Amino acid sequence: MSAVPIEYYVLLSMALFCVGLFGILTRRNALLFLMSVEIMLNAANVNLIAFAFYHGNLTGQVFALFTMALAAAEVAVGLGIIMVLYRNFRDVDVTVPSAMRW
Amino acid sequence: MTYELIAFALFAFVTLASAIGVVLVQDPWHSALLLGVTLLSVAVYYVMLAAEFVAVMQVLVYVGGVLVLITFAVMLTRAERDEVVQT
Repeated sequence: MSAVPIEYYVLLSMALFCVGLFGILTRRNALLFLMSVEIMLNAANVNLIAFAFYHGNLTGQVFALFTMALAAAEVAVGLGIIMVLYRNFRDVDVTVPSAMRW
Repeated sequence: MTYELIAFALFAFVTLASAIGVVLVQDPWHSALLLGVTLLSVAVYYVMLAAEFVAVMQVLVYVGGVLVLITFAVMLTRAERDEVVQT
């Protein structure tokens, strides 16, 4: 149906997801957590759209739209959490707060 | 037909390189800009997979909304830390 086989899209999605997971596991900046989660959600979206195209229905595209709404809401909530973290600790390093009470 | 494969390879390189740049660059503001490159190049795959509406929503929601929120967070949390580093 297309010139690009679906395996290439799955491989690209896998590589993109691994990059996002690497960013979450190695960086300590809370802002990089938000960006890495965005990268991982985009990797899942690429998979959903690729399978929707190769199966010939629109279910994957609807799922991808739900994922986008979820990502937008998640960034809005994460922004609030990061602002509170910065206000209380004067930093966005996620290793500085070690307890949920103070 | 082979042009589509070449375009896929080029944009896959751009996507992966900018995504690796997001997680490796030290400055959060440069990471945000590279994340914009990643999100825009992901929209190209949606056009190639005949999902034009999702591609438009990708550009509108991610680049227009999410990236602005991340820019907001970067600018609000970085200003005083640079002063602390300088003094």
